[in-house]
Amino acid sequence: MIEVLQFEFMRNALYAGILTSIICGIIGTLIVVNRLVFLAGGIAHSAYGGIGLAFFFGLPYMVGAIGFSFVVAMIMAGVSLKAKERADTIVGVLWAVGMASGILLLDLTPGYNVDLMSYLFGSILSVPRSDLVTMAAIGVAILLLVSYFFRDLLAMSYDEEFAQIRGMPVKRLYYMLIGMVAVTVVMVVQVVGLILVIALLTIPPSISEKYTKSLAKMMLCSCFLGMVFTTGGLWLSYRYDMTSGAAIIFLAGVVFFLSLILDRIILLFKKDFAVSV
Amino acid sequence: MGETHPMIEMADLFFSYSGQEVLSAINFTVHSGDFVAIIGPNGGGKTTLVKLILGLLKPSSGTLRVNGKTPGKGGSVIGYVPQQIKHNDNFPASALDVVLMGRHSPNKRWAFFHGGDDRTAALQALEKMGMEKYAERKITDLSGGQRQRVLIARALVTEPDLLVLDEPTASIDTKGQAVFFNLLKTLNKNLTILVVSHDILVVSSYAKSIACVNKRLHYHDVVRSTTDLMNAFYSCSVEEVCPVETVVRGLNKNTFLDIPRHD
Repeated sequence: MIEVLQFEFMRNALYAGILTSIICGIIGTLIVVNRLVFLAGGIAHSAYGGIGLAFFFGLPYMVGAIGFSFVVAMIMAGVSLKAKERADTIVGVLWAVGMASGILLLDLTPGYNVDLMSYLFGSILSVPRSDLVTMAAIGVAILLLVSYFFRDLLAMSYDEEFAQIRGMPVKRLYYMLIGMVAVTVVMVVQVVGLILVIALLTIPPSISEKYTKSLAKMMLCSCFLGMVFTTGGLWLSYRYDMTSGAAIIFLAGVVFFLSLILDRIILLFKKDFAVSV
Repeated sequence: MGETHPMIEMADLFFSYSGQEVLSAINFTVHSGDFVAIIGPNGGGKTTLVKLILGLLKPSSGTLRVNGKTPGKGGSVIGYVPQQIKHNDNFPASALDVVLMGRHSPNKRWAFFHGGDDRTAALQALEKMGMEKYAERKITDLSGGQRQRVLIARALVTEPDLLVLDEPTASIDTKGQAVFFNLLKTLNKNLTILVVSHDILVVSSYAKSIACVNKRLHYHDVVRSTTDLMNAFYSCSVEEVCPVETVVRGLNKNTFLDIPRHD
């Protein structure tokens, strides 16, 4: 493993993995405790519409993607606040339409063809230095924002009504959270691919949630697990010559299912214990 | 508790939701030190009434004052205990963390951890509810009744004048309910209490007055006898006669209640 780090692309891949793990560990924790996984998936996929828009109008990639998914995210946030029971339908529609419009816009753009696969799976092995800097900047921004509003976010995630009665700006916090999800997801997707981002947003937090007793610890644990998965997955992909993104996700998935089995065993043991006592 | 003053005042209050009138012409005053039970059929508007008092909903017309102020404008005097928290089974917070949420004010930021004062207050509130030994336990590992106590502790650390509880005993067994309401009775020495309940026995043995909500509100100031109690229930709705009859039969068997008197 060590000798592989002499290649710059491998070092960059490792850094990208670590940065993604930190960002996804923090944002993913908030997504999982607020049960926004589906909404986050919708935002990430609809971002493809923004990419199409950017190419069609000749705008910079980032402006198109972030602008578009930010708008879509705000619509989703608004709908889920106003009509909670309809939210999943609207998210599903925006998810599909966003993605389709992106492809149509790319079709209509003369002489350009973006590979959908590279958007879905990204290429963690070809992350340029400049992207690492951008990701580090997002990481710091998220860390500051989440630290500043930490207790508000905790109270809101646990009991929205109580938080509102206590005078916390629950609606604005919710929009901020969704906005944060939109910006980070789009930026990180561009680096490591959509599927990897969704995996790192959901798998480490849902494992951590079971074994931690506070939101901060859950975030820390998720970041750590994410780093284990990305580093381990990169090693697997190098050692056995496999696609890196898929290897990382597969490793995370295996640990996820192992933790489910572990829970069963613990539960059985507890029952046994209760019976014998 | 000293002199009483109006804690909740509703005058000519209406509330409609998507064209349907949920609450109509409500006139209702709760004085400080009272222990009011809100009863009524499902869908009769009990929860809506509570949400209006909490400031989570705005009345369509009419006036509503809580402690002389329009609710929902911050500086709330209400400690709210919800029926249950609906979210995932693994929420990462200890009982103490949940109580500490009551100590958070939006102008205190940058804080991952609470100061010593907050922790002391939170632990005291847990102790009051007999839950101090569960402070470090994960909230989702506690039983329904224990969780309810933690939620009351969370309401108490906000130093409220009025405690609002929505169906607090829904997840507690019968034995636990008696203990629970005795506890509320103790808290009532310093606090005004408003509790939504469908439990007629509870209403009769603990509440000082009853408000029956079924689109309209009927207020029964003092509950002295079973007749009063029955009047309160009949005032709810004629359609509800059947369940009430069963309750009447059940009540007459209960010796600890006054035999109905006729004036």
